[in-house]
Amino acid sequence: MGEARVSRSGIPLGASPRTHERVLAWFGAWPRGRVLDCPAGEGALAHELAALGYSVVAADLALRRGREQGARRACLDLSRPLPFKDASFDYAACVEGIEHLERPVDALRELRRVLRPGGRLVLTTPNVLHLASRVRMFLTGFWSSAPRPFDTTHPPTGMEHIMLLTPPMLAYFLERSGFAIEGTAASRTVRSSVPWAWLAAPIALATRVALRRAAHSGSARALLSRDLLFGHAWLLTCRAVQRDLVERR
Amino acid sequence: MTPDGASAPRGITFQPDIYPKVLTLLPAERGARILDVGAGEGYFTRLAAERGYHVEACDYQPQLFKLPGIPFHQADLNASIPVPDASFDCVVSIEVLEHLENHTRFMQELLRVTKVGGTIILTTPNVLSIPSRWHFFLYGYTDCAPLPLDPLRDDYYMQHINPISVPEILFLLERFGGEMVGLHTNRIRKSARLPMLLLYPFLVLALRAKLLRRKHAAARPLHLRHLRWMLHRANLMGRITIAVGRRVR
Repeated sequence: MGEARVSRSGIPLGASPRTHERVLAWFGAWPRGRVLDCPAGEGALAHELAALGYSVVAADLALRRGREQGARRACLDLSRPLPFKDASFDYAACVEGIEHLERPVDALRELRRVLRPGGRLVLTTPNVLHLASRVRMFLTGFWSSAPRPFDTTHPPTGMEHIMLLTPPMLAYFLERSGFAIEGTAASRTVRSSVPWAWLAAPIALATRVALRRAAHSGSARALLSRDLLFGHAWLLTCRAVQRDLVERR
Repeated sequence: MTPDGASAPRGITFQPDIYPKVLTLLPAERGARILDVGAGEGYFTRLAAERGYHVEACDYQPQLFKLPGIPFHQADLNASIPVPDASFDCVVSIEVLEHLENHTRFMQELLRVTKVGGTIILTTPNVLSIPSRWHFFLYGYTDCAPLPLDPLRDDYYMQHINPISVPEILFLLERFGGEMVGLHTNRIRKSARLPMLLLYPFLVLALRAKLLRRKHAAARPLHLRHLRWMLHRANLMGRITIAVGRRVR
């Protein structure tokens, strides 16, 4: 990893490089409001959002309650119903969290519930579709963000990427949970994907053939984006859409 | 138990030979207690009952089930299976996992209701066959769900929303007190033969190189178990994964 990366206020950054900066750039352009940052980690993002003028609840499994660094702190588990009323936030940020959850779709439904209609979710997760990850999956059956089997001699610590979703699966679950994807970006470029860049042409051809139906053209475009072929993490901003939230599993 | 043709339960899997293969894997003792989880209309339930087993069925939609003489348990399989702990000698779940959001909870429940020493038989489309890996490499979708899914479909539960691979099944079996004792398939894919011939040594070398490094020495037994099943012919060449587990504690 090289030197430890920290935010401007000196809090260590856990997320993939450039995630923090990109997410802050998004928030910088939006009207201020109430944000749920979960999982907040050590609070790097929450602190900067508070500095931007947002009213922030920074939540994680192991945070103490109370108010520190401008953000209200809360202890919560994304695997359980969230302790907030419906439509009580304008924004939710879930940075590098969803891949650690056993029930990511339940978490998405909960985040949708606590957002007001029209509110925004910012979500980031490792991209398992960059070129080096595809090569690794082909050869070993494991993708880059979870390259080895998980230890079963103890329960998951919470740090494992136990439930990685491919970008198409994540997009599907977001839409099923009542979100419309508004924009996407990538964190840093994966260096080990660059030597495989020559694969982009045959992959583009195969993708266009496999997804040739008009209804799939959006999926093909996303799959062939630079973000998904080379990006380390996939960053999304989504709107909570007005829809009857039927309990659909 | 001898319904006429019109009301006989149908099996809705499109792949041939799953049911006959699973029948060969059932316990030897006639009269053993079997739970068919995700029974649908009861096609497999009836096949097993006709062979002298005590069979019970479990699924989300009781109205589909066509066998009045068989005990039926209505259940949301993402949540729980409403039968007592350790009450079955064998639990069978045919083409169900890929339809469920919550693999973790489902597997925990399957192991809970199986007696210690009892058998768990799971079938699901194989996402790690060489042809499926090739498709993922080319355009990001596996053979379990080869095209983008429509998130707004009403019969969403018929979609393969959540593919699962052999290492994930192995992880969940071991995590909840089981072990994997067998791996089978319904048929060996013709399209896997030539790539298997050409690539097998490289697949062995790649996986061994990744998993048997000295720095992972502590995880060696775990990694050896994964190597065994990952490099199994049924995993590299089979169309449907048929995994057999046993509850050990």
